[in-house]
Amino acid sequence: MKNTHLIWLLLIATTLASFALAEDSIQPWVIGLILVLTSLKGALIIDSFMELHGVHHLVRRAMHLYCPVLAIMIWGILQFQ
Amino acid sequence: METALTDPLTADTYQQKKPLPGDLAMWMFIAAELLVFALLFLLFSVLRVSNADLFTAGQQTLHPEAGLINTLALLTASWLVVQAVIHNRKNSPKKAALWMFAAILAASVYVGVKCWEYWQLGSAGYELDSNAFYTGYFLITGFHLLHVLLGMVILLFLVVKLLRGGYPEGQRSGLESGACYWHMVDLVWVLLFPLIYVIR
Repeated sequence: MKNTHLIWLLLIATTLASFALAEDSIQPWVIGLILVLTSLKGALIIDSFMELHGVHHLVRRAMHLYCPVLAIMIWGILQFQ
Repeated sequence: METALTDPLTADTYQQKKPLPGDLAMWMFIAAELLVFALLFLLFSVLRVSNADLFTAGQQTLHPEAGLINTLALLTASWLVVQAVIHNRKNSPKKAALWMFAAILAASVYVGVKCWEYWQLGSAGYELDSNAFYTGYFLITGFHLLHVLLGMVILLFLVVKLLRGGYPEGQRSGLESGACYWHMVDLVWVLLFPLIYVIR
């Protein structure tokens, strides 16, 4: 586990950024940006906190796909709104 | 033989890979939980599309600041759990127990804020069966709250065991499993927060 303090600060910063975007979150591109930030946060948690970085395993690949795939699916569904 | 070992692709197969932290059973459990939450998120999104005005109105009765505080509390709790795992690896189980206890305190902030949110909504007359938005909101956040409460019980168990020096080198799988469960709870909230509070 390296740079855990920095990772924590990054997670806090991306959370605050997502929250700041909330005012404009009707726009599709803003929704997309918020979901990209969410996927980034997920990747940071998976690699740095769950310690899956460096693990050569199916679980790591599946975990890394979880946030982006779900975010894309949610974004796709919301485009029908 | 010499050529095979110096070839980067072939040599890679000889390298020792880092083992999966925690028990495999815990990872199977985590995978199942993530799948259930994914289905709930997709269901919530589909309901939102078919009831756009209802969901927009429902969302305006929520407190985004409460969601933000909860996100910060859970991320901080996860970071504190990481510090506990690091200190235990440095053979400082007592310090690790303190970090883990701090994580429970951070998680308590989440529980307190979430209960306040439920109380606020309940006082305003919004309940589980009020409409599709509140059904989705209470089901998803309530299900997540149950996971947080279970996680806090697990963290408390880890604190007690750390104080007894129960995770020496070579026997840290239980600690890592508990930590990974907590990070999974955090990961789910990271997706839940924008879906329910941020995206309009």
